[in-house]
Amino acid sequence: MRKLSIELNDGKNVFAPGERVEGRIEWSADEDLKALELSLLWYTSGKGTRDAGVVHSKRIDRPGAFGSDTFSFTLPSGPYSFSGKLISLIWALELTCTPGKDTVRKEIVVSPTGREILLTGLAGQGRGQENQPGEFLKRILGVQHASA
Amino acid sequence: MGTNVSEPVSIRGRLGLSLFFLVFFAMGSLFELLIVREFARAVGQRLWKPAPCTITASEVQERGGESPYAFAVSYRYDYSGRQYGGSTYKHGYSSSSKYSSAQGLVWQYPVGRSAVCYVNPENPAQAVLKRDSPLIGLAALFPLIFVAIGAGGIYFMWRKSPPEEARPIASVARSKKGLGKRATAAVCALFAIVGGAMLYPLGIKPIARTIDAQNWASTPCNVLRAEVGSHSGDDGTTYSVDILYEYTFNGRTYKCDRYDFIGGSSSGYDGKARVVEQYQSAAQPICYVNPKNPTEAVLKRGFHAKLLLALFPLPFLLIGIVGMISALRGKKDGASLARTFDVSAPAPTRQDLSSLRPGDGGPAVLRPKFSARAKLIGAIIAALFWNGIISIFIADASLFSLIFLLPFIAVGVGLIGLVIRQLLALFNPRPTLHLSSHTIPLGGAAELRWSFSGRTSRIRELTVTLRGVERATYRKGTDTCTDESPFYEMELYRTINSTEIASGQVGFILPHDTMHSFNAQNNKIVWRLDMLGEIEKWPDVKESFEIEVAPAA
Amino acid sequence: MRARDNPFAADRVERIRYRFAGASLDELLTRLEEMNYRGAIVGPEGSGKTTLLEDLHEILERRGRRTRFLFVNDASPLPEAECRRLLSELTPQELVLLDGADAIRRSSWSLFRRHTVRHAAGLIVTSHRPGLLPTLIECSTTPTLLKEIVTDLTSRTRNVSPILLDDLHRRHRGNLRTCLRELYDLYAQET
Repeated sequence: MRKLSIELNDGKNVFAPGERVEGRIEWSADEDLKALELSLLWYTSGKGTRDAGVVHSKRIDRPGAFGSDTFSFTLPSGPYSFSGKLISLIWALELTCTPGKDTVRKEIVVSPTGREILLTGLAGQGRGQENQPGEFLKRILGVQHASA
Repeated sequence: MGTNVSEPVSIRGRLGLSLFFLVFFAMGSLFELLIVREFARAVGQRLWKPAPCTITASEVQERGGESPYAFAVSYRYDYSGRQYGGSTYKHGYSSSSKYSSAQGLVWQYPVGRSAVCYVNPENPAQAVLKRDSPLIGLAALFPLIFVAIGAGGIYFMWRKSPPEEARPIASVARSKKGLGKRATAAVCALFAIVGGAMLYPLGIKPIARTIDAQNWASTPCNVLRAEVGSHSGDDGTTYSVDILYEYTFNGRTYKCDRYDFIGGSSSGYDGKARVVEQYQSAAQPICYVNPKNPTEAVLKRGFHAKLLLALFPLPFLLIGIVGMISALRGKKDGASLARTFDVSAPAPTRQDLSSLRPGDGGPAVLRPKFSARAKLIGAIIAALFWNGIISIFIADASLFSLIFLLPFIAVGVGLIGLVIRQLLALFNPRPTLHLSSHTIPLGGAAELRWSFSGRTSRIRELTVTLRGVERATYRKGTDTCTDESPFYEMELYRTINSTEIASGQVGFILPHDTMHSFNAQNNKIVWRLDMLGEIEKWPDVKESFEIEVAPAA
Repeated sequence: MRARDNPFAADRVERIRYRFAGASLDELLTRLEEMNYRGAIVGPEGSGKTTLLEDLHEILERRGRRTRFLFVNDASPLPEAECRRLLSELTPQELVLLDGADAIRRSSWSLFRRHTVRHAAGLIVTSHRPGLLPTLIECSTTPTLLKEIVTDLTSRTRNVSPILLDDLHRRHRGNLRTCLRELYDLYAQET
């Protein structure tokens, strides 16, 4: 019987890009384990074939049958956690052990807004801001014209 | 939403296309059979035994009709102790349309001359002075193209054997396969051979003789007969210039009917009538005589427009050679992917994605992906190629076969239309974009400056739009499908003012609560600037420029 | 609906393994053994050939056989040079599983077939048409199969009407993959 767990400090699972992800891992097994690997990665889910990227990883050799350890990773500036119609990008911490294929995964959100970015289909119809001075003037004149 | 690449073909469509390919196959096979038969006969003739013979009669006989000049010859020969008389010059020879050809033969086999004739060992009463050339075997290659296209087309159409149980028809072979490298090279080689073969009679021979004719002696001649000859073919009448003239060279008199080095007949009547009139009324026109062989003469020897016909086979030759080289060199295929599948955890891949730094790099100049010129060249090659092939068929086609050719002609017309459209688009003004920074962070500001080259006054309205799209590719086994879904669209600028259209600028701020550019193998977030320049009664200017949006600073 | 919540997302669909109509995986393995581990999984597009081959891969590995999984498609067509290199790396105990044998070049395929007779433990391929190797199994789909799979995938969300699924199966000519992709789009429209 094997038990693996990942705990985040203060239970915080929402991060801004560039922040540190810190916490602790724990493991207990019936026999001595050969190795443990903790990865910080992102992967996609949706209509397309899955892509994934491992950003950080920490390997523990001969961790024994049980124990715990802390971890601290710095998040990159991107990619953000997001969900659109076709693609979702999910960040997670994953702990695997050898021998065996036991895996435990802890999902986190990486986003500057404190929430997963939602791409909800067409939005933002409008004119560009800061047009040429000429356009600005025209608008003022237009306003004047209307009020005259 | 999105585009699905693999679509099965309906049964009706397949039957239609199969009929189309069947025509190719049938025509090709028919011609192939005819040529093979001639080849077999030519080879058989090679086995005929040579025997000495004496020419007893040799003259040019004038009969009426299409080919009025005939080389009439009689000769005596001995074979196996018996004497025979022959009058066949060559198998299948009846007469010639050119006086000079018949005349030339008379000179080659004058009365009294001892020559060699070839006797059929199985029937010694049969003999010829000249045997058929087995080179006709080379021509056998040409119809094979059509047999191959026909057979290949039908095969690929129906390749999927229907399943045993009764259920909806399985989908047809994928269209993305294409020919293998060597097959493509072989087809291109055929085109090169055909192009090269045509180049000789249409181009090299007439041009070489024109150059040679510069040395020919100008001699006054008498016009014996000048008229426009009409030849009725299956699709109508064609005309040629028929002038028979007489001249004296080095004390001997000759007759000739060569007008120019290309000869043949074509459909325009008026031009030829004018030429004939010219020679009818001329008192003593000039002809040019070959001093090395005075039986050869010509009325028109300069370089003229018709010699440009030499260019006709060039596209075939070029396409054939270029096609062969590129097919054999081939693309560098990606390494094969042999992997063991791990279904539980996501397969980690090495992606350098976190190297995006906001505001990276200086200003960037954006150019459109395919230049208008490249698109035009592509369209021209395609149209030349297709219409070149079609015109061979049309030239000799009867009304009946023209009906079969209609779909081909339609495609040819479509391709010409594409060329015209691309040509028009070439005259379209082209935009160059300057973006204040190569990479723009989310929430960041940027300035876009554009300038159009070309006749910008024709653009009625210009719209610049910023768009963000999701792009997801699904790969499973042998199948690949890509879908797109836009999630952001913002019109940055719209104007009808011609000065602003020609060159202008707009500042804009990227939204901040959306996703930056993301590029993984199968899943991408793409940001782009779309420029639309509407032109009345003309293809619009449409260009897209991908930009790099970085995470917020 | 977010892409990750879509019941027809690629990773969820890929977790659906091959379903047998009639025979079972064990029977298939017995048959495979009788055929000396040389055979072809034949079927039209979207009928589950790749899925079945992957399942075979997993169960064979679990039973201790050494296997090598290769796939071919337009992006990686396995040119002859690559083919030779792969074949030279083979050990005689390895079973070769080749997905997309009919997409491979003729020359590479002959190489494969000949080489694996003596230098490998077996060759199992997928193909759209029979004839490359003796047929191990013919894959096919039915509207019922589609309904079963859809029910599994949408167990936690609202169900799709069976009439819609019948029509879907007919329109896509039994190609389950494209059926499921259309269902993805259908669900993606909803909030």
